[in-house]
Amino acid sequence: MGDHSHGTDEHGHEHLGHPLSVRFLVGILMALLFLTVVTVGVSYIEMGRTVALLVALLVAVVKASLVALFFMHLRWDKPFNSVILVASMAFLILFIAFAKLDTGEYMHEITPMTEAPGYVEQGLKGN
Amino acid sequence: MSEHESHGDGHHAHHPHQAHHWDSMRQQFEAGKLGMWLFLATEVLLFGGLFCAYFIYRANYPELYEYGHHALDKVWGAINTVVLLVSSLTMALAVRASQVGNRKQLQAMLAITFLCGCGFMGIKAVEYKAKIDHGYLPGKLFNYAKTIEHEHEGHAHDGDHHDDHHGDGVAHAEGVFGAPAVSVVAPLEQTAQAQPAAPPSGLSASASRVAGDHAEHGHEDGDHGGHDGYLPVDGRPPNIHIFFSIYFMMTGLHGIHVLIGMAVIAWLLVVCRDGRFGPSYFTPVEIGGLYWHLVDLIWIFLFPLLYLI
Repeated sequence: MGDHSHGTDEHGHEHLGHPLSVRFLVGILMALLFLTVVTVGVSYIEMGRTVALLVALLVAVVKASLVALFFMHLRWDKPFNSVILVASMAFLILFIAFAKLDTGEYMHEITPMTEAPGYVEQGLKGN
Repeated sequence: MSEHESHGDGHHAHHPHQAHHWDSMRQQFEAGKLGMWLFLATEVLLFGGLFCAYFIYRANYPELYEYGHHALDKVWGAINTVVLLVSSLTMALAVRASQVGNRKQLQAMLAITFLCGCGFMGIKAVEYKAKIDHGYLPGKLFNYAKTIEHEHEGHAHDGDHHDDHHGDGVAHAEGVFGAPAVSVVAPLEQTAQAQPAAPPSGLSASASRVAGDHAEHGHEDGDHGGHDGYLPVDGRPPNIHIFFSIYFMMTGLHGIHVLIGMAVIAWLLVVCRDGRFGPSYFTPVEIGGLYWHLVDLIWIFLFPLLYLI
């Protein structure tokens, strides 16, 4: 699929892009809209909070992949551009995971503070 | 870097938009895109800080989200998602139009994308206004009295048990949003002391104080949200303002990005009139498109995380 775009125009300039058919792009939008309906729909179903989070994230990752692969042309780009995106996500997950581990260490000290008398009122100054 | 090197034949006409330090238009195009992807990676990390805050608080105080997401309007959020997805399609079509050298279509698609951006910000403004009017503001701006009054109004409109919390000190709250019902038993003398001149609508001004009193007395440990002694005010966590801090910071930073994206599109609309974009040069459209798609991509995560769960 990646070859027919490498033609040249009448001035001898290369065609750099990879034009996708309108139909294909509209099809991607339809898939995205369908997944939006799915994610809203399942939010009405009673499930555990962890399951709900995982389902929402799964649908979001699929939608994001569609946007990145087709609207952002990663599917036809040099693979290095995809490596950059995936690496940024991977480091973000690492960042969140370590931060979570860290607060796990301190939560037993934080929780009594937030429950101490007057904690909420302190937040109310100025109201 | 590619099989299509332009130098060597010695007769290649330089494209007017090829900077002299590039061997070929393709090299220039690929380098520009690589640079943009590196920038987008930093954008992911910029939002990443806020996503980190979201997940840390979600892990430690899940009840914030369980209660807070009911305060956001799913319908507006879903409409905005559709608006942004459609604008992503039109942006992709704009890039396509520039690739095939169709200037009219490029202009039309950029214009529709811009209008979708306006629509998104308009709906966001409606949502923000409702939050601001009812006191759902980030951090210390959060107005407990207003929000509770608002939730009780909604409760009254539901038409059940509005008077329960008078006299006997029992706030039988369902919350305006249809949050799970939780009964809070407030010791009579403290409720009375906390609202010496309370308006008939009841708990509003004093509810947060009641929460503090509860904590002091340690009633009802552990039956809510999985944190021992984490006591609800009227069925909602007393630190609910944290949810709105996260909501405003995440959607606010996203909104700023939408505005920047709209500015880029407006600029593209102006400069594309001279027909400079075509099959061999459309880097600005491509790169502006990448930015716009990233904004869409971030909203794809924000919408379910804030509005739905």
